[in-house]
Amino acid sequence: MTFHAEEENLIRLYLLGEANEEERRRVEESLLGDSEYVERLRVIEEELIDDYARGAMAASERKLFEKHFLSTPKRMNKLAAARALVEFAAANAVVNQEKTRDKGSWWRAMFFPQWKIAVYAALVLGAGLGIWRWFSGQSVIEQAMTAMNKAYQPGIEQAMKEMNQAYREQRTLKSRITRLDYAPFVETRGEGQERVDLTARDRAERFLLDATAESSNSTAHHALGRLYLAEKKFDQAIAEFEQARKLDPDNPSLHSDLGAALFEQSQLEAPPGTAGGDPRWFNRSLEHFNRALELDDSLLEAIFNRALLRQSAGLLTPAKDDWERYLRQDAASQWAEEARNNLRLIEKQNNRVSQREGDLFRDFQQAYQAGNEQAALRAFSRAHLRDGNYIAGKLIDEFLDLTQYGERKEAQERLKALAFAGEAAMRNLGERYFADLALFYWAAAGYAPKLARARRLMKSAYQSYTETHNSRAIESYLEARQIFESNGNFGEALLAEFWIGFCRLRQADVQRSLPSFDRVSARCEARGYKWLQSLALIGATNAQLRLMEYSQAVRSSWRAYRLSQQIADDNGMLRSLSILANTYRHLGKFHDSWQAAQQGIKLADGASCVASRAGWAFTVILKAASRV
Amino acid sequence: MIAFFDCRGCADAEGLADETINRVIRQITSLTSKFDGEPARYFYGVAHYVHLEYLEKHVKRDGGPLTEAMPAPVVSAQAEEKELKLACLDRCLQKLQPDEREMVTEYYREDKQAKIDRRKWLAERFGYSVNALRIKVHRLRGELYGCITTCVRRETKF
Repeated sequence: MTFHAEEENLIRLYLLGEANEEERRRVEESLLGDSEYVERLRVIEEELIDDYARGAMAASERKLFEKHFLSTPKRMNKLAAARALVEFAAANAVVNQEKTRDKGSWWRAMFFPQWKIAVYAALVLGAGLGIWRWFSGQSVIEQAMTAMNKAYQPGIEQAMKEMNQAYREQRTLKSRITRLDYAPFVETRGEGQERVDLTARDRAERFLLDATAESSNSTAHHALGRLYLAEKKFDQAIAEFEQARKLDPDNPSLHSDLGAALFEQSQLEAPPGTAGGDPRWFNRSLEHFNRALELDDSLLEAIFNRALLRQSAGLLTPAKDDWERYLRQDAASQWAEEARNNLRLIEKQNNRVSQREGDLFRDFQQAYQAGNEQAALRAFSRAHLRDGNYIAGKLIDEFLDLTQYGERKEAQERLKALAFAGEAAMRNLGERYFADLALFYWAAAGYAPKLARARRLMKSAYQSYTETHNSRAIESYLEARQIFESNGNFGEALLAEFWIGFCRLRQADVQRSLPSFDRVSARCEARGYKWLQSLALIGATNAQLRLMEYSQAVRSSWRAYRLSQQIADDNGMLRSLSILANTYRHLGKFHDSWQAAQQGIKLADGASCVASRAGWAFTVILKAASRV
Repeated sequence: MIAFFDCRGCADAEGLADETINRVIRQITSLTSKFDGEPARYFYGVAHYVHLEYLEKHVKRDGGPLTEAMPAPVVSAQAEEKELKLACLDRCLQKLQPDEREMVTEYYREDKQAKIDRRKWLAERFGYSVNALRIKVHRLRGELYGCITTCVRRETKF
């Protein structure tokens, strides 16, 4: 931002009430259209106040200032603040010394006087000797370990055979455990219903406990960890795997099994409302699968498990990629059949979603052309998604494209449709977000290329988010937000801020994500952006759950539900009910959980396909609730 | 738009800005097909009328001259209120980074130096251009102002 003398002078005249009609109009029109101009005006306004507070204003200007400027409580408060600052500064006069930033001072402190150098040299020599001894000693230890491994290998091998025997009819987990052969996974309602050869399992355990007690090597701990994992003793499994990892940090199978343990642990704990479980477990699990594949990119167990992890988190595109990769390496086994089934599920889900959205857009167009406001609003309300409204998004993107291609008339048609929807939503539902968007894009057509770029950044950020590249997503959202803010598009800037918060939550950075959600929610409430406020409240709920603030979480999710209800947002209501059902279940309030789940299922049955994605979640919740 | 109403001396600048936007939104469907000019001009027109209505309402309600036309009131503060503001200012300054705190207090320190020379000196001192320093101080002021307002409000609740 730069200050031109002529412009500064004009603003000063304007503020002192000395501008003529034409000059006043020029300044005020600039205020309405240019946020940088507003900031320039604010800077000059403050400098006027400062001059007045310091008594540094010419007499003629002082009279004008008092007459025209000091006319509102806000400005008088600013003057009082300026006076306080002047008084404070006078009372606490800072000694105007040059701060000596001697960059070499720490260096001199370290190495002077010179005897210090001699001491450092002695320490380095000593450390070097120690390391050499340790390494040469290590080779002796390593030799001993190898011998012990050999001695106990038969025991561990026998244990693995027994484990395969134990779990030959059925495996207890969806994930794959290395060295265990294929067995079908069957979901059971409770313990004692799994078809496990308990004798073989006990024998395996005896072998492995002996092995770890006698030799405590990586192979023994790893094997014992596998046993605990198969028995769903996740804490113990993780402890054994970590012990093994200390001794053998670059073992790909170990990373795969550790990732599986973390994944299964996260499913079991299932922190309320989050697909894929607790993001902390999710992130750690993913790290280990990734590490396993870095060490051995053909490790089938790691590919299989990573696909499962991603699919459970609703990250369908990367999950699909993993399943396809798996099938390229193993197309024939029974594991491959499971992979194909999972792939079919993903494809089915994807097809249903895009068909649904296409139908909604068609319904909206027909209703809009017929002037049927209620029908148009119904279709519009059902098109609310997590990253925007599908219909509004399509209209805006087409408007921007057409504007850039000079197709003004066609572009205007898209804007009219958006304005129609926005106005209808505002009048009937009290939802202002889309009306404000229509207004903004009408006024900002001249900035189409920049805004188109910002919207592309939002899409790529969302894609990165679905692929769990959260840091990359945050970068793109930050850039998009900056473009939106600098062009006055506060609605979409708030949406970007919400997503930044959500990505941070994914990174388990609750301390930064919760204030973002609170900020977005408060600003949306002030502006009447109900859809976005509901999203922010769900974000806040997730964060509150991480912080174990359960009562607050329940309140936030009910607020989110009511807002979604007000704007007839089925997806929003389902999101809220899902998180509520899980939260109540977590609190042991099974009746409340049941009720929320029932409500959700009814809604999901009546709604269209994105909503029915939640249907299976409710079925699972109901099963859990019915146990009680 | 808030700045527009602020500069026109309206006490409720935010409310008037909202009213202007609401009025434009209500016309948006016809505007997209009929209005061919600069949107800022249209906003200006609506905002101007909203301001005129506001002035008229004040005259009717207050039954007298407009607040804007009245002589500037004496800005006085009770001793207690002044003490409170100073205390809040002290607290809020502590929340700034040390070099920012120093920048603000140096900026407001009474000095016989001419303003332009002083700005140049300060800019060099902190490694900014003069314009960048003005903006930096303005933004710090904004933070302080918000902090002081919150602090005073908190301390005066019963």
